[in-house]
Amino acid sequence: MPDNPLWNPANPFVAWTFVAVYGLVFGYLGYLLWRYQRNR
Amino acid sequence: MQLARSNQTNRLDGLTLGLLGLGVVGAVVGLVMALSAPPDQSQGFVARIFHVHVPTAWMAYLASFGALGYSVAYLVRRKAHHDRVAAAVVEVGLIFMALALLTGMLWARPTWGVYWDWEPRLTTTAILLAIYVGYVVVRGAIEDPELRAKAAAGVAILGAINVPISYMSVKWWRSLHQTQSIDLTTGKINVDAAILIPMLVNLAAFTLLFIGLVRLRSIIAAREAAREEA
Repeated sequence: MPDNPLWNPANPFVAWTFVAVYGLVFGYLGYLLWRYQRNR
Repeated sequence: MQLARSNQTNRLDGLTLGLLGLGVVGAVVGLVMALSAPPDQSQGFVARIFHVHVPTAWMAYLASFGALGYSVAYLVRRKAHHDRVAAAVVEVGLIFMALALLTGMLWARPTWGVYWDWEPRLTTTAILLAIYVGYVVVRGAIEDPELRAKAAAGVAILGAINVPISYMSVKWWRSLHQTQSIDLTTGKINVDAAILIPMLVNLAAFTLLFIGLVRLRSIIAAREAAREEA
């Protein structure tokens, strides 16, 4: 189905979903590690 | 300052590092598996959002029950450690709750045609998010540590009541949102294994990350409390 955007592997909604999830979770982990180091 | 006193360790321990390390590796493996999962028959590649949407939503529910457990433990035993962990669970849970709503909106737009609809599952999840934002506001507004802990515990208990309502809303008030992919009330799995497995890998990884993040956040809170007391 080449014309159907749902069948586009690089669909921007999918791309933004993964960027948001991994960016926020790993970003929060990085923030906590930074805050831990700062409080040492 | 009874609330600041605690015998809890405030050093980053091996268990926390192990949970975080395994969680990060698992999440990367889950990402690769999700991005190589086969397309859905009707939703094509957009259905890949499922691989992170369901785990983030489950983490939001896990956070509600975690906050409930530690809040009840605080009200019964009045240990500052329980209050700090409850606050950490809510803070980490808010991130996953926001992500569950955001990924749901990004999934809804190409499939439903709208980012948002006030249908039962979305509405009850938005209420859940609002309750935990309220939890953070309550903690920030009350200076007395014991009163703050008691009030926050009350909000956390209120929030947990909403979880079973939100979970069952797709069955009780059948609307736009699909029913559960894994129905915990019947044990029925409504997804093909090729799509299910990457989601379960992400679910396991996010659970490890969630517990690791809560432990790390609690350690930071314990350090800050000890510093304030000194």
